[in-house]
Parts: sequence; C-alpha cells; structure tokens
Amino acid sequence: MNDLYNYSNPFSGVNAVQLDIDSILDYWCNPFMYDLYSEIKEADIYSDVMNIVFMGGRSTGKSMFLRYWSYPVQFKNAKNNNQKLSKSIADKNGIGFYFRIDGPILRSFQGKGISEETWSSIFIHYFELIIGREYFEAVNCLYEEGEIQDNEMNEIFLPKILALIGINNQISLQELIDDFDRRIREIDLYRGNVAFFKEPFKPEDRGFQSQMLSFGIPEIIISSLEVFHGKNIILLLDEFENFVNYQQTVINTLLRFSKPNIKFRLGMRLEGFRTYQMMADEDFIKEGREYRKVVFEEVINKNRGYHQFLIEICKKRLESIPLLKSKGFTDIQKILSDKEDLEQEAIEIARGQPDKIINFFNKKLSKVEISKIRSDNPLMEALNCLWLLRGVSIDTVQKSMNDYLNNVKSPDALKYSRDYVDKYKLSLLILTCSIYRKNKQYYSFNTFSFLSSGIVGHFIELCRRSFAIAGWGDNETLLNDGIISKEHQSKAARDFSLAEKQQISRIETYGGLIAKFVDNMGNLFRDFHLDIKIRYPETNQFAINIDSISDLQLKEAMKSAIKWSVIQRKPGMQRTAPSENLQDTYTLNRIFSPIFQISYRTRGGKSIRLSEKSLIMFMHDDKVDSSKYLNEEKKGLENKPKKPGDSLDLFSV
Amino acid sequence: MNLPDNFPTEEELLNIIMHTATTAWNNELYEKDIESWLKNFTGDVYPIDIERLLALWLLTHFTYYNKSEVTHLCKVLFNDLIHHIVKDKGLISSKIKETIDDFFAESNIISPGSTSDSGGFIAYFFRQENDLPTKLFNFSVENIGDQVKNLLIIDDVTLTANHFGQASTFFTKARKLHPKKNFLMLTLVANAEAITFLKEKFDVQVISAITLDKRDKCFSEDSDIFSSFPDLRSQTKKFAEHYGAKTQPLSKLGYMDGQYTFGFFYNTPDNTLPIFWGKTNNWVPVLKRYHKNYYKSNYLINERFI
Amino acid sequence: MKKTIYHMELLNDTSMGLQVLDYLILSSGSDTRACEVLKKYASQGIVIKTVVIINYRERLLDSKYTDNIFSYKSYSSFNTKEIECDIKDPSSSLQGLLDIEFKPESIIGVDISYLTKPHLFFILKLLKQRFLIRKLIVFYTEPKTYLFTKGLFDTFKTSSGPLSISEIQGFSGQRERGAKTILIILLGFDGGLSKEINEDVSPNQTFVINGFPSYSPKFKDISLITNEKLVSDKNISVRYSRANSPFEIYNLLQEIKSLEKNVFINIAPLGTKPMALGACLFALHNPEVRIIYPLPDTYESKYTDLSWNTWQYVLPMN
Repeated sequence: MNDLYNYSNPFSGVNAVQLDIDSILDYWCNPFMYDLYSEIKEADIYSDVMNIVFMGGRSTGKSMFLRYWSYPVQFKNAKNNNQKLSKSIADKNGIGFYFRIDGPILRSFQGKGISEETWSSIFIHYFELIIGREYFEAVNCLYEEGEIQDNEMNEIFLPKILALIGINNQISLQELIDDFDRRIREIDLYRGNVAFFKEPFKPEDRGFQSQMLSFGIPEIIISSLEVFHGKNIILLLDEFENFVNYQQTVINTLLRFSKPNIKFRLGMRLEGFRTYQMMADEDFIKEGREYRKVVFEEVINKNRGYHQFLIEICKKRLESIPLLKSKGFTDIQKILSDKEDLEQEAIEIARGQPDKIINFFNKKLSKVEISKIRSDNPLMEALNCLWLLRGVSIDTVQKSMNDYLNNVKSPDALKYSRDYVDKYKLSLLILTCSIYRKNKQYYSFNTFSFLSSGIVGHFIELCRRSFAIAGWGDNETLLNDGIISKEHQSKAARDFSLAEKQQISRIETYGGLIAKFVDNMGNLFRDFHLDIKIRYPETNQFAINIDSISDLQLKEAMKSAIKWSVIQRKPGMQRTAPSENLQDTYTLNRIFSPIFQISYRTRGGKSIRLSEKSLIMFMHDDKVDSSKYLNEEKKGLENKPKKPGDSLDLFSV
Repeated sequence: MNLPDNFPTEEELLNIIMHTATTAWNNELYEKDIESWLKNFTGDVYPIDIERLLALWLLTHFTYYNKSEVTHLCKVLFNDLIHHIVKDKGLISSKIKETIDDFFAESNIISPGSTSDSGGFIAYFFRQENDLPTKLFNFSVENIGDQVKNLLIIDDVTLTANHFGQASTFFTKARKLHPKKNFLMLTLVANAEAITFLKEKFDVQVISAITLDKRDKCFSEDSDIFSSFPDLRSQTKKFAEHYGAKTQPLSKLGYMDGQYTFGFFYNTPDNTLPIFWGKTNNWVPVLKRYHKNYYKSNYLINERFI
Repeated sequence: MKKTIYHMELLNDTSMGLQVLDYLILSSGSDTRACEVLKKYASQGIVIKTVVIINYRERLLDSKYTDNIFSYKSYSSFNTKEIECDIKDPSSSLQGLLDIEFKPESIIGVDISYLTKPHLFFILKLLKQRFLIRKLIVFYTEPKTYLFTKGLFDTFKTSSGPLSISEIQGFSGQRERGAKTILIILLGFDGGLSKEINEDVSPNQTFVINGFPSYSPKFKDISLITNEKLVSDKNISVRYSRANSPFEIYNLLQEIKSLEKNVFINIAPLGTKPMALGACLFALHNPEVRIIYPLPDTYESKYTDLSWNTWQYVLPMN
C-alpha cells in the first residue's frame, strides 16, 4: 500500500447534528466575526423580542448554528473556561434549548386509520412533554452543580411545577424527569402498535394541551429561580420543514402567542413553511409580525466575509489531519489556487489548432487580415472576431488590441479593456471551449465559493471530492506540494454537479417537475452562452413572480424548488427591462453550472422572463425550444430604443 | 469490432474503478498503475481505444479481497464449521457446547501445502480471528496422531476439480496415511465442481465461505460480467486470450481455464485471468501475483554488503 | 443467552427440504422469482393448503390477465386467497390477513422474494403479535443478476421519485432519555439512500454493514461504491454479514447491541431481503429497536432479472 495516502480525507464526515458537544466547540467558527449577516447581531440570539426564523438549504450551517447556542454547549464552554454555568446564562441574558424531532418520528403521527384531529392532540401532548423534560434537565443540571439552592428548588420551584402538572405527591426533580420519560414511552408504544390494534390513545395520566408546559414551565423557572430572573428562554427548534402541516399549525400558534421572555428560533429550509395557519383556522402568522427571517444562503450575494468564513472552516478541518498539519497544508486557497486563470485555460485548449476560432466565426479573411487580428491569446482572438461580427473594422480591432496590450491610454484601448476584462472574458472562454469541444474547467477557491451558492456544505463536498480524486489520481502532488490540479478539481465539480442534479427527482411531490425545469432552464442558459454574438453574456438568471402564479401545482413546485435550494432568489426585486414590472429574479443553484457548462457568476443584466404559460412548458416539456427565447430577445433588442446604460449598449461598439 | 452505443466511456469506467479502489480496495490501485497496465494493449486484436475499454470493463468487474474481508471470511468459515458440527443432530441447547468441545478435542488443523504456502497464511488469520488454541494446529499430515478423528485442512482457494490440483495431491497422500479419519476442507473460496470432486474422490467434506458458480467464470454463458452486454462476451474472450497468451502461453485464461476475476490482498490466484497479474515477457500487471518457487533460488541478488 | 441451531437450506430441484404447509404467503410480481417457490412445490407435488397472495394495487394497474404478474394463477392445484392492498401502506393488508385466522400451530411459509420490506416487517410482526405464531418457514429466491444502466454499478435504482424516510409500521422502537442513538445501515446498491437516512436520523454513531460474502463476489464492492460518500466518512466503520443469511446479521446486531448499555438502535434495512429478515427477527425480539426505511413514491418495475438460488429458512419467532 502506498503510505503517502495513509491519511483520511479532511472533508469527510461531520454532520453538525451528530457532533458531540466537544466537537461543536472544536469546529465552531463564529459567523458574526465575519459579518455574514447584516440582519442580525449575536446579542439578538437571546435578546431579540421577535421570534427568528433561520432559513437555508441543507448544509448551510443552520444546525451547527442553533446547537451552539443551546445550554449543553454553552455550559460546556463555561466549564472549559472555568466559569460557573450561571455566568453563561447571565452573560447571554438567557438560556437556549435545542430540539430536533427527526422526520420519521414526525411522520409517524399520521395515518393508520386515525384522524388528523386525534393525531394533533397526541402530537401536542408529545411535544409538550419533550419540551418540558428538556427544561427540567437544564434546571437539574444547575441544581447538581450547586447553582440553585435547595430551598429554591424544594420550596418554591417544585411545588409550583407539581401543581401545574397535576401531581399531588412530593417528588424530586429527578423523579419528575423519570415520570416524563414514562409518559413519552407511552406515546412511543402507541405509535408502534396502532397499525396492528387500531385503538384510541388512552394515556395513564392527563394529556397536556398546547402552551401548558412549553410556556407554563419557563414562567415558573423565571419567577422562581434567581439564576433565571429577568432572563430569556430561547427555544431552538431545528428542521421545521419536517413538521407536517397540522404540526406546523401547532408551532405557528406558539409563535403567535409566545411570551415576552420565551422566544423561538426556528431552523428550516427556505420555503420550509408548509402553512402559515394557526390552530384557529381563520388566523395566520406573518413575517414581520410573528417572526423575522434570516436567510443563510444569501451570504454569497452580500460580502467577502463568506470567503474568510470558508477559509477558517477549512483550516480547522485540514489541521485535524496530522499529516497535512505537519506539512503546513492548511490553507485551502493555496491548495485549490485562489482564482482561475482563464487565459491559460484557453491557451491549453487551443494548443495545436490555432485556426479553429477564426474558422468558427466564418470570416473570409485574407492572410494579411488574419495576421492583424491574430493573437497568442485565444480569448483576445475570439473577441477580435466578435468585434468584426459586430461591424467593427479590422484596423480598429487591431489598433484597439495593440493599444490595450501596450498600455496606451486611448479610447480604443479603454473600450477593448472594458469588453475584454469586464464584460466578456469568461463568456469568450465558454464559447472557445465549445468551439474546441472541450469542457470548461471549474476550479479554484474563488470558483468553488461561487459554486457553493452560500451553502457551506456544498463547498465542503467540493473539497471532499477534490481530495478524493487527487488522492487517487495524483497523491504525490497533493502530499508533496500541497496542490490539487485543476483537472481533478474540475472533475470533482462536474461529478458533484451531476450528483446534485440527479437528486432533484427525489424531492417530495414535485421532484419530477423541478427536474424538468432545471434541465430546460440550464439548457436555455447554455444556448445563450453559445450565442456567437454573445449578446447577453453569462445569462443565468430568470425572472418570475411566483406568488402571482394561478396554477397551484406550478406555484408549489417553484416553492419546493426554493425550499430545496435548487433555485435561489436574488435579494431585491428587479426589472428585466426598463419598461417591465418588478419581478423576483432567480438563479439556478450555481452547483449546476459545471453540468450545463455555464457561468457561475451573476452579473445582473439580462434575465429570462417567465410567464405562467412558459413555466408550464419548462416543467412539462422534455425539451424547450430555446430558439424562441433567443429570437424573442433578439427581436426585443431590435425594436427597443437604445438608451445609455441599457443592456442594448452591447451593440454600440 | 464496434462497441454498443451505450457502452460506458473510459471516464465512466475509471470513475467506477476509482470509487472501488478507494472504498473497497484500501487504495491498492492508483490511476497511474492503471495507465501503465493499459499500455500493454497495443491494438493487436481490436483498435487500441476499444481494447482499452474492454480491459477497463474487465477491471471494473475484478473482485479484490482486502485484509479485513479476508479475516472476516476466516470468521465466516469458522462459524460455518461450527454449524456443520451441530446441525442435523437434533441437539438441545444445553448440549451444543459439549458437542463442539468434543469435536475440537479430537481435531487437528493443517494446511495442505508447506508452511510457507497461502494455506499456512490463512491458518494464521483463522487462528487469530477465532481465538483458537495453538495446540489445535499441526504442521504436517504425517504428524497426525491416532487420537485425532477430525482433520481440518485449511486453504484459501479450492478450484481444481481433477488430479492436477494441489488439493488432490495432498488428499491422495492424506487418505493413504489416514483412511478412516473425518476430513473437512475449510476453504475461503471454492467452486461447485471442486467440492463435488473432493467429496466423491476422497470423501472430503468441503466447507467454503464463498462458493463460486457458473456466473463467476468470466466467459461462461451465464457470466454476470456480460449480463448487460451479452454480445461482447466472445469478442472480449478473444481479446483476453490473445493478451493472456503473451504472458502465460499455457494458461491464457488462467490455470485450468479458470477465467476468474478475483484476487486477495496478499496474492492473486493463477486461476484468475493472467492479463491482470502476468509479469513475464514484459507484461505490466495491474495486480500482483507471487508465484511459488519450487526450485532453489539465488539467495543473493546484487548486494554489495553481506 | 439462548442458543438455537439455525436452519438454512439451499433448495434445488432434487432437495427434499420442502414440507407441507398450511399457508404460503407471497406477493405477486412480474419477475420469475415471485413464483419460484410455488413452482418448486407444484413440481414436487407437495401440499400447500392455502396460498395467500398479496396483490399490490399499484403493480396491478394496467396489468392484463395474461401478464406475468398473474402467473400464480397457473398453479391451480392450490387454493388461493388474494389480498389487495396498497404498496405504500402495509396496514392496508391488515383486515385481509386478520380474516384468515391463522392458528398458533399452523405451519406457515412466507416467500419474501417479492414482498416489499415494509410489508415483510408488517406481516411478520402481525403473525407474531396477533396470531402468536411460533415458527415460520421463510423462502427467498436470489435474482440471477441486477440491472445496471450501461452496466455501470452506480446507476442502480430500486425506486424513482421522492423518498419519505419513515419508521416501518409497528417498529417505532423506544428511545430512553440520554440513550446514545445508533444507526445501523444494511447497505444496498441504491446509493444516496443511506446518506439521506443518515442525515435524517442524525445518530451519534453509525454502523454500516456490507453484505459479504455476497450472492456473487462483485456485489460486495458494488454496495460500497454506490454508498461511497457514507462509507468514506472517517467516523463510520464498515462491518460484514453474509448477504443470504438472516441469522448472521441477527448475531451481528446482537453483538452491536451489547457494545454499550444505554443505546437507541435504529436499523435501516437497505440491503438484501435475507438481511432485512434477520433485522426483522432481531427487532421482534427487541421491541425497543426502531426500523427506518425510505419509502419511495414509485418502485421501479424491474431492477433484477431471472432467478437463481432459492433458500429456505426456519425462523423461531420467540
């Protein structure tokens, strides 16, 4: 066996929900230090009087984030720093309780011939017990550490609690916890047997109604125990999207009626709300009133803090592998290289076949004319051809290029620079790849950051695959030089892109429609990228008003696509053209860029306008005719008047 | 020759091999090893690109048993042996242990070849994995005492169903020495023909952790390897025979026409296609095989200091 | 601990292992495996008093009378009782099975070759819990081959569309407070399922069990390849259990359970049916164990081809 590979992939494993407390503390990177979220400060976690909903796709870091603020982690942190547990409560001004009920349990509270109303009562009872038990465990923890006095516990707290629950005899807190265990077991047993014995649920003791324990116990905690006086109780409820409809109405009602010192911090996917209804049918919760939203996936659109955040996360992982740490290979930017080198990529693609670009543009040029627009840089050569196609004279093209290359400060050079550097370089490379029938390569830290679309887990997966492929294909370069080749990175990106695309059909209910939509939209973007005139460079966004869609299935499918991060909404509404109405603009998750060979950046500018009618086609047809859209855009360009700053400036070269 | 339109590409096949090598083969194989091996195929039979695809296709179907799998097979073998001892006897629960203890009290374990053969190697793992006492093991069939009623012979591969195989040679001798003893052959891998042969010829009960059948012979009509592309079977056989003959002229598809596609972390059996393991005539193998050296060797190579 | 000598027999055309049955429960299907046991009984002239056919409505849709799915009808020497039910809801077969009134001393055979796993679990628990059956004869016919698109192992799919990761009805288990959650995944060929389940359950520790020795040598690699992402997780250890033996997996599950005291065991039987059978028996003997399964929207109509070995197992229900 080759000993050089005798190390494990630094990016494998580590699901935040599975991590033990020490690992959470080890892997924690405080996002507030990187200023990732403008809508929220660290102090808001415990102090904000509004409920907060953290929204983001899988692997965006929500679970890690929520678990960090929970009392077991905070208490451990306090102990590690030789502090009293009560100090962490005092410092934070509150205490957090993390809950996650896995999907299989939640889904077991339905069907089997039992009505939803009955299941709702059982679920509420179960939920209240789960939360109540967690409260008791935290109090018990403080009590065992000596931070709650005996008299507080036995003479003030416990009597009130026992009265609330309806237990007449004096029992200790530990016995109360055991009693709650028994009640929860009762429900588990019922869930397991109801399919065989279709009988009603008859608990040995009373059932608990909503809010009775979830709000009742904290009120007693805050009023009875000094350590909690004036402090906030924060309920950190994760994976809310797994709750079925009626279960969400239960929680929605709690959001509405949450108390001043008792607040929710929900973690869920985008569009994770299946319903905004409350238990009283006629009422709904509303963003801004019952909760405010913090979106985890928008970071890529916001600021450079995301890059630093990724570097820091990767550093911790790389340092956990002794071999890599000893060799100093802990900077992911160096391992992947910081940015792509588009020119070098083009030169490698075109090697040995210099005439292909000119032949592709089908320009009947003399040898002298060719020599004027020829360049060692295929991208410049392609740009020169593009200018010729747009009617610019050969001499102007030559002068502009030479002025640019020689740093001459002329208007021609400026124009050339603007087009080459600012507007078209990536588009030219994608077109060049197509001309040479080669794949565009997706590599570098910068590219992977974009491809990850604000989802940390995607970035980690890209790194994992890159390490795995490099380890097999060229582990000597990896372990001797600390570098992963762009070919290996690109393969990792393509493989992951394909894997994610294949997973789309697994999305509940609307997977098939979304898969077709992505295929058609991706291929349409691809066709725009292959436009010989590059009329709309790097077109990879579309505009639609989802809320105004009348067909419920289409609307829900689009929402589901958002929920599963297949499409991502750009912040702020935009007009696709000056005369158009404001619409929401969306991109495909950038992770799909490698499979469609399109740009991963979002430049602004052109968006494909989607009507409800066209959405039907995109979701049902096997292949949408893209020429219709390309011609539409072309017609639109020809008919509309040109204004400064308009996208039509493309033709004013 | 044309491959079907839906035949996988080289990239797809390499992808499978990469995942296999990294998840199941303990990284025993790297891309550069495969590239070196593929250079063996020089377009003698079909165009080079097709030969490369066929070679990769065969390699994706190779089964390699890593160390933890081999040790697991030793455990499986032992469990099968225990089951064999107690089954069909109508024993009650309390009698099971006694029956097993009695069996081993009258048993010896040996390997059919010399101490340095693979049987001895497997015996070591067999003892370790099952925490067996060393006194259970004997070094030679000539050393077995009268008190031993059960002779357990352990080996890794038992695939030859005729008198040319090592097992046959061993049992011919063993039966002469111990005509009345109960012989049990414990083998990691066997095929149905060898099992039947040993039973009929030598009254040996074979217990095998893995029993190969018709699906496992690469070019048989029932071969699993060509279930997706049955039309390629005979053409690929021609390819394997041609290149197999380059490195092993007398057994171009493996010893006794084995046509197998498996190997162990410590060695590849010669029943396996030689295109995988051959080393002679400048053939570059993709998986290693260590031949038995039956003659005295040069004990010194080119060392300066002794 | 109680010790039982297991009974597992390979049935071939000449074997004498078949015994008279009061009932044989099986599922209809278009694959030859669905009726392989019935065929063996018919060819040897051994009596089955009643054959209980589980017909999944979804499989019957658009089927004509002459389709293979109805090939069980050609064995007219047996009395049959057909129970129609939903493939997604095992409890939909409850009333049909309750009507049969099995007796504890009945000799019951179950051919699990074409039953879905959720139904397999449900039926076995029903027979044990409601009918107090003490022993079952279980049959399983291996497929000769699995179907891979382009022959590539990572293309294998048993289902399409969305998955709902759910507790199998009747196997919700019981989690004690403070118990460490363990997830034991019996690996199958359908990649992606194991990862989904691991993320949904999010256990404290995951064990992965590969069916090895497998039906055919290469299969042991295929399950690792298709579950590459999970298997390459440095925190996860891979163990092995014979793919065609329910008893070996039972012993292994017993061993894992004994490693620590306060554990909540979750099992995801994604692997072979015999392994699922072993997991089912283990869960029946250990009711605190939870069984998790990815219920698909649509089962693929065909992902195996032809029949190979048929096994008979004698299952002690207590």
